[in-house]
Amino acid sequence: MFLSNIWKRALHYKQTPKSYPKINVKDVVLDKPRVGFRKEREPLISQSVTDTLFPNTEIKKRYIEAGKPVPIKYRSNSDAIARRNYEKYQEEVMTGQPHFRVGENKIYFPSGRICLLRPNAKHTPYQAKFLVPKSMNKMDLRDYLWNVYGLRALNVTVQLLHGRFQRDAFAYARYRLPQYKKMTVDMAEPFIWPEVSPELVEQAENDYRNEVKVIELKNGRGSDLLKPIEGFDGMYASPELPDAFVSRKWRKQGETDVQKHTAQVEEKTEKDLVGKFLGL
Amino acid sequence: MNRLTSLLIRPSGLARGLAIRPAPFTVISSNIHTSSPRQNGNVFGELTKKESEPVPVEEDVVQETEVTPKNDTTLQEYHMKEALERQYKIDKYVTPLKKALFDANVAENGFFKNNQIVEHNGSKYKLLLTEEEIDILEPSVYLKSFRIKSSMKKATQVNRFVRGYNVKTAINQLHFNPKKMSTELEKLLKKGLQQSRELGLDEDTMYIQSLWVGSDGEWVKRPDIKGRGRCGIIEHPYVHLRAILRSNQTKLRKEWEAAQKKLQAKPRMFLNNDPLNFKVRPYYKW
Repeated sequence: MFLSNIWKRALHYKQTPKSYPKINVKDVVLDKPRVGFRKEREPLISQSVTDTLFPNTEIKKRYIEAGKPVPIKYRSNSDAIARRNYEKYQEEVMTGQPHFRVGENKIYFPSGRICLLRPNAKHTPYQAKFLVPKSMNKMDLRDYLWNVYGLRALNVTVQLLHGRFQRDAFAYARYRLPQYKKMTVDMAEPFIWPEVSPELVEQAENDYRNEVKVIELKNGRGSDLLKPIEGFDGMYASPELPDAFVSRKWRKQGETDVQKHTAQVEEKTEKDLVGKFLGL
Repeated sequence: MNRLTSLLIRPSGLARGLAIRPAPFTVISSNIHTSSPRQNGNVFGELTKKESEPVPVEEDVVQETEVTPKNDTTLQEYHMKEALERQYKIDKYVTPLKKALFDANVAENGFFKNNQIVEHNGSKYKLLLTEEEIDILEPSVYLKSFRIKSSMKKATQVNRFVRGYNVKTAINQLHFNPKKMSTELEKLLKKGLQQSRELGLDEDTMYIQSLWVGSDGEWVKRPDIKGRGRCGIIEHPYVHLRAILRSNQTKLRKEWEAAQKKLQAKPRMFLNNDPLNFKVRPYYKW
């Protein structure tokens, strides 16, 4: 038997069905299920505590009761620290103190631009978005809002936008525009932007349209410069008077002729005046 | 400044009135955070506080008429002055006496007859003008189109079609011509009719004396990539149209001149009136 096995292994011809392994068809399972074949485990003890804010002590207790080693995660006294911090935070909020360590670097004339932006669809009324200088960090904004407006920033998130690509007519390749940094702040109380009056919007749109018209005409080429400038209620519109045809050569000559003529007439009137005065 | 300092001071009046009592740990109530003393019903407190309603201004006292560009006389005068400086007008290029004599001649004959004697201010003049001077003095309307995206070749086809036509006939013809340049030219001629009306000319008898197309410059060019590593240039041509419209006066004058020329022409001789270039003999030579 042993030898025959070895021989089989050494032989390099195709196996015949006679020597195939003997398996019952009923035992073969085609397309084994991918889910549900794993061993079902008991839920962790740590998962059983759900209804407290500081669950560490409770979890620790339950592990000890069950006679199991307490996981390292739950051995520390982080619960006590968290509780202490939370109490401190509540107290600070109640007394109107800052809920964070206020920065000590005094800046008297901040030059950075900080703009409150209109919210996007994803923002709640409890969030405010600011456009901030790129050098600013979360703590800076939190300090700024606290010191200038007394606004408590409960959470700050940063969005650093990518520099958009710009193509210039005179540059060989595209280049990047500056990056913008925005920060979203969570607030204790809601704030909703006031509606912009429709008249103001209308006015702005009208101004924009007018300016576009003027710019288009100013940038016009060739005969487009003859176009009357519309927009701004006809502020720049000059009347279009009918021209007679006078060739360029004759314009030049005719102008000098007329100038000579007017000079002669003036000279003559002056001479007459002088003659009259002298009694000639 | 006062407002700002009041903001910056850490207020504690409200906080003093409250007993500091930590809430149960399991519940986070939203009113924990609303301790800001400067709330005033708003996060930004006084900064965004609504101001008291404005006192209605008595409108009867001050009645200001709104100044718009249309009724601003100073602006309109300025624009008119500029336009007059730009305008090509006969008075700018012809001396007054010449103009007066020309007008007197036209008034007498209905159109200008060259080399005729006219009376002006009690004295008689014989006015002889060159062809170019007559062109300037006779009424004309010089039309310029705006920049058109087309080519000289395309424009010339249309121009040839209506050159010399009566303006109204030309407009009629062009209106039913499907070419783009026909539309452009029609617009231009309609402007010409409007201008001739302004000048007090009879628009029914105006005709297209000359009509031409010119390159408007600054053509956009781009590469025409071809096979075998070669390339050409695709040009995007821009053109403008120029036209001179003239009145019936010119037409009549030209007809008259042609008639005069015909009158003065010698009678046509169908044979040479020279002596015979060979010896005339009273017999056959062969």
